[in-house]
Amino acid sequence: MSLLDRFKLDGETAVVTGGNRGIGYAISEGLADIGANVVIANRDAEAGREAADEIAAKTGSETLAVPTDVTEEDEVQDLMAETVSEFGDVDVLVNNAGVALLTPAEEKSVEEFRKTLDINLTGAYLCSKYAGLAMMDSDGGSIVNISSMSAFIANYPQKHADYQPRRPGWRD
Amino acid sequence: MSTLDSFRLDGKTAIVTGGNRGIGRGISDSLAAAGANLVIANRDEAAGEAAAEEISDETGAEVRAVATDVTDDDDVEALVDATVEEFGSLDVLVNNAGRTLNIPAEEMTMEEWRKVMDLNLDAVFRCSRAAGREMIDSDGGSIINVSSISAFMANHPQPQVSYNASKAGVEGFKFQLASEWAEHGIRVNNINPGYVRTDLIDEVIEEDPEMVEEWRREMLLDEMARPEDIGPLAVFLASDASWYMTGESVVIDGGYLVR
Repeated sequence: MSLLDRFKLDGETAVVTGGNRGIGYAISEGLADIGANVVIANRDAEAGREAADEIAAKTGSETLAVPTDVTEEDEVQDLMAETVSEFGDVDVLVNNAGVALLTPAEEKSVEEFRKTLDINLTGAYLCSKYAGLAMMDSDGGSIVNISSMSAFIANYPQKHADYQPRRPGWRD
Repeated sequence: MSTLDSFRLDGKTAIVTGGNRGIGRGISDSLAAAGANLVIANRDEAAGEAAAEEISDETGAEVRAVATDVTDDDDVEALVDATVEEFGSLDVLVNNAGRTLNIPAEEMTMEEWRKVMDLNLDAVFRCSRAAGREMIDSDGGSIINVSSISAFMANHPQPQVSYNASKAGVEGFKFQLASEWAEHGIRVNNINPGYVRTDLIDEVIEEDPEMVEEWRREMLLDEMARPEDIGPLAVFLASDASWYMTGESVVIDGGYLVR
């Protein structure tokens, strides 16, 4: 195998949460560009389908959109089941979906705080759990978490204390 | 440009210090395979020539060997001059040459301490300075230091305090150089390997198999890296694929630090 072929993902299947826009879109496009089948998992069904079609047209790779709320366990389970039934297995999971609610800590409600943790941390756990189960059934895989420099520093001037605890949690 | 093409190094020129064997050889093989013109800078002229010829035969890349003692100012200046004269530019420097001396701290002489510092830290500065002057005059470049997980932890059971101090020094060096040279389009990043199966490690294994078992217990992946496992990371850091990365250290250790 030539050196650059080691970077290729032909025949591999990748699930990208929040893959319809932003960093997730660029990752989806990059993975498809190097040969992966890409499954875009996001909440808005139409936006997901549009992104999947666009990326398939640009790269020639197989893509699929599966509307998913990563905080809902049964939806995440369905996402991985659908991926396996369409492409045979799950080789790569990119936990990209995330939010930042810019409210000062002293004004933030517990509901707001929980919402960020649910998506950024619990969602990554749920997706890892069900992708991990699929990977254990086949021959392993690679899980990539989109963390942030915010795991290590204080952002300024924006206020989002609930965003901050994310990284230490999933390093445990 | 396609995603995969952004990893290519066609038309770029790279120097790899200690590029004739071990991790340096793995990096040299990969940079040449990705299309770079390559200069192997090591002390033993015959070994450098032999490696250059092998890599050129395998990859079709232009490869030269320039016999260099990286602890010598004149040698390093001559290395950069020879590279630019041969290939017209210098785009990538891999500071790979390094060594360790496993001597308990309480028994180590200043000469032994300095030997490790001279090669692992002073030479990294010396080569970066010479290459950087050239890169500043042209359109920037990428400097890659082969640091180590030893920059961040204590190794055991072997005593190697000078090695760990030198690699921690390379971390500070990286932060500051990346900051000073960003405006010149020069990126500075470190590769921090764990245990890699080189011929030096093979000697250790022969002498002390128990030590290797102790290392292995700390790894998540149940084997040491091979030199060719480090090469693709160097290609990434050398190439436009990583243009937005600078001042960073990338650990590649089979999960050793995690455990």
